[in-house]
Parts: sequence; C-alpha cells; structure tokens
Amino acid sequence: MLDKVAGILLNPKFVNFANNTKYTVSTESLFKATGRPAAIMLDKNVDKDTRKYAATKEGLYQALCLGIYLTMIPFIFQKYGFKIAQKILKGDSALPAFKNATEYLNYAKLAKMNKGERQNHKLLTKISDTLKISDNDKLTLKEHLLKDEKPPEFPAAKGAIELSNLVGTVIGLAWIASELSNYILHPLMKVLGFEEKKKNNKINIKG
Amino acid sequence: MNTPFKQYFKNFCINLGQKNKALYGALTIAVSKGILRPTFTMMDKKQEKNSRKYTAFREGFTGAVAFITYLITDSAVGKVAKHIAQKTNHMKELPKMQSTLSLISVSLTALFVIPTICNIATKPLMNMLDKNKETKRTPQKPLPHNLKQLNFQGYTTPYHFRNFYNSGMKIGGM
Repeated sequence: MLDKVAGILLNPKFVNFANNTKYTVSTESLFKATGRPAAIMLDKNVDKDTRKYAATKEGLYQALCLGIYLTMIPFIFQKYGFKIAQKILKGDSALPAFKNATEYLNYAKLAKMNKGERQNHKLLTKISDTLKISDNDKLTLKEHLLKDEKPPEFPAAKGAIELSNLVGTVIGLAWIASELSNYILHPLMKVLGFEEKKKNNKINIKG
Repeated sequence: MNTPFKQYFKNFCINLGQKNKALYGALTIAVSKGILRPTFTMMDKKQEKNSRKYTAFREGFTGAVAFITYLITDSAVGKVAKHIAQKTNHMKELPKMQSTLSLISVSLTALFVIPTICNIATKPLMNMLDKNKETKRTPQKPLPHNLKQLNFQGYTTPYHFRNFYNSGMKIGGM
C-alpha cells in the first residue's frame, strides 16, 4: 500500500507539477475559488440571498484574479525576470546565455528525458546551435543533449524563473489582479443579475 | 566580478530551483494579500470608515490564518513524507516526496481548513472587538422630558439612514 503511495508521490509528472510555482499558485487559487464560496454558502449566520451574492462574488473574484495572473506571468514576469537574472549572473556558468526563458524551459524538458527519447525530438530545433555553457566548454548545449546521459540541468535558471513567478504572485496576483478584477467584477455581477437584485431589494425595503 | 550580492543571488536561485515547494507560493500569496488587500480597503474612501475597518480586519485575519495554517499543515505533511520514505526505502527521494505532498496539503488547506477556521473564528472575534468598542463609549444622557416625540421628518424605517447599509460585517472580503 505504502509502495503504491510512494510511487504516486514520486511520479515525475507530479513532481514537476509540484515544483512549478505557476502551477501550484493556480491550483491553490482554483481550490480557493471553490472552497471559499462553499464555506460562505455553509455559513448559517447570514441570509440565503446575501450568501448567494457573496459566494458568487468570491468565486468570480478568485477566478478573475487567476485569469489575469496567468495572462501576465509568461509575458511580463517570466520574460523580464529571466532577463534580469541573466544580467546579474552574466558570464556565470550557472546561467548560460539562453535567448529567453522559453528556450531554457524547452532545454530543461529535453534534459529530463532519456537519452534515446531526446534524439530527433521536435524541441531540439528550438535550442540554439551555438549556445555553450562557457567559452571553455568544447560542446554546445545541443551536443550535450545528444551525447550525455545526464546533461546539465541549470537549477539557477529554474530558480530564476520560480523567483520571477513568486514576484509575479505578489505584484500580479495580490496587487494588479485584485485591483483590476474589482473593475470587471461589478459589471459582471450586473450581467448575472446580482447587482440589480441587490438594488431592487433596497427599493422594496424602503417602499 | 563575483560580488557578494551576485553570489547570494546565485545560491538563492540554485536552492529555489532544486527545492521549490508549493508552500512558498502559498505563503507569498498569504503575506502579500494579507498586507495589500487591507491596505487597499483602508484607502477606499467610498466606503464608510467602520465598514472599511471591518473588511480590512477580516482580510488581514484571513491572511494571518492562511500563513500559520500553511506552515502547520506543511510541517505535519513533511513528517508523513519522511515516514513513507523510510518505510519504502526512498530516503534519497525525500525532497521530491515532500514537494508533492506539500502541493496536496496546500490545496486541501485552501479548500477546507482555512475557510472553516475563518468561518468559526471571524464572528466571535468581530463580536469581541464590538464589545470592546461599546465599553469604551461614554453613556449618553437621557433625552429631556419636554421632547415628547422625535421628528423623523416622514422617515419611518431605519433603512432610510445611510449608515444602516454601510455598517456590519462584510462577506466575501471585498
């Protein structure tokens, strides 16, 4: 039984997923988008209409934040975060001069495969032919991928991407997405009829 | 040139690249939302001051609860991972096991534990704060007897008063 559990926990796909900040933040936000509205609906201290309104608002808010965050991460934070890290570690063999974060991510995918699997893989075409770890290295990174059993993985490059994603979580998810979603949320709630209902309720009570 | 900052940055990136966990993302969200959301709420001048305070308190409280709960559940899950790794002879792969279990614990904590704790604890805490407020209030003098009836100028229900809608606990943390 425990062997089966260990097998699931050590599944390479699962491990890669759990090591990726973008995926884990998305998973957490998805659970929040379902867990919080459910908790609000279970809160018997509040009347049913208010609960429905608050639960819809919370669910939509979390979903919107996640959407905005996922749109911003590859285009802004990953792209520029990786460039800044390359500038800081310029000339260091820990982070070679990849064209951009995408080229490194393609390289990392290939480096994790078996040697046989790597040969003639379509991702190889996306790796530069001339890129080397340093000037002293005789082989290019592409040649390392084709000849080595375990080509270098460059954890510093992966760390730079994860750090960019964490910074993106603070600026993109907690700040910009929170503010932007507030502007989108109210019109969306109106379309769904929640804001109108709220207004109507006020009028009815006053009457 | 190898400056101390460059060396520190390099080591930090290498460690993060090798040992990244779902916990780090979750803690980052808890801290940043726990600070930024109450700050924005308090800056929103459209809302009544008391309402702002309530909402900001609730948001900050949720952030604090999330931060502590994530740390507790992750350390518990770390022990479970060690137990499984020992029993199945996978001690070398313990960090990988901890990382996947960290994702599971973060997800379940976000789904069940944090909303439950907030549901249970928010109301009594709010009530407690309310009581403290009430005790600090100076008792009002009774109205003089010659004022037989207050003039509401046609308004008959409390719904006509602006503060009625803007006070009390806000749900949804918005």
